[in-house]
Amino acid sequence: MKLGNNLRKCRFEKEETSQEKLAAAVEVSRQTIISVEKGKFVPSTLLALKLAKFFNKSVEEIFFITKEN
Amino acid sequence: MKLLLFFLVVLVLLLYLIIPKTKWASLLNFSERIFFLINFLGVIFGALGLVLTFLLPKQIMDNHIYELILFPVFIAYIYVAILAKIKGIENIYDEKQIYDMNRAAATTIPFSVFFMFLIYAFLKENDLHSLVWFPAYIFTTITVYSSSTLYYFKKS
Repeated sequence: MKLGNNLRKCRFEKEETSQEKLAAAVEVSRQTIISVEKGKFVPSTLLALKLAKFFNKSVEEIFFITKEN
Repeated sequence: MKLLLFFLVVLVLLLYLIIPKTKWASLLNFSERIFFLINFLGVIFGALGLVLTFLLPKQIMDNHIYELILFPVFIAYIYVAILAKIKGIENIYDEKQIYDMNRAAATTIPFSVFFMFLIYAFLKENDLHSLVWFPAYIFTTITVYSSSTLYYFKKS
C-alpha cells in the first residue's frame, strides 16, 4: 500500500500557502513538508491531524491509499 | 594541553548543567538550519579527523589534534543536549528528523563495524590499530552518522 496526498493542492487552494508557512503552522521542518508532499515520508497520525486541522478538512480529504502491492 | 582540554570539557559539562536553570535558556533555539549545520559540522570535522588519522597518526595523537578536531562537534552535541534538557527531545526535532537520525544510526553501526574490521584485518602489521583505533573509530562514526543523516533528510 502507498499513501497518496492532496497536500500541494490544498496549499494552493488555501491562499497559495508556502511550504515554510505550513511547516511553521504544524511545527515541522520545511523538508518534512516537502517529503510528505512527494509521498516519500508517511506522516504520523498527529501530523496528519494537524495538517487536516490547518486546512479545515478531514484527514481522508488530504490522505488516501493509492495502490496495493 | 591535556589539562586545558580537560578543563574545557569540564566547563562545557558545567554549562550543560547550569544553562537550563538560567534566563539564558530562553535564548537557545533550534531550527532546520541548526539541524543542517550540526550535521554539516559532523561531516567536515569527522572527515578531516579521519584523513589526518591515516595521514599523520602519530602527530595527531602526540599533539592532541584529534581532541581539537572533535571539540566543535562536541560543542554542537552539547548544545543539542542542553536544548533537549530544556524543551524535551521531541520538541526540538520533528518526526522526520528523528526518523532520519534513526536510519542514520542503523547505517552507522554496520558501516563502522565493517570499517574497523578492515583496519583490524589489514593494518595489523604497522601498529596503526593500536595507536589510533579510537580516533579512527570516533571519526568514522561521526562522518558516517552525520553524512547519512543529511542524506536521508534531504533525499527522502
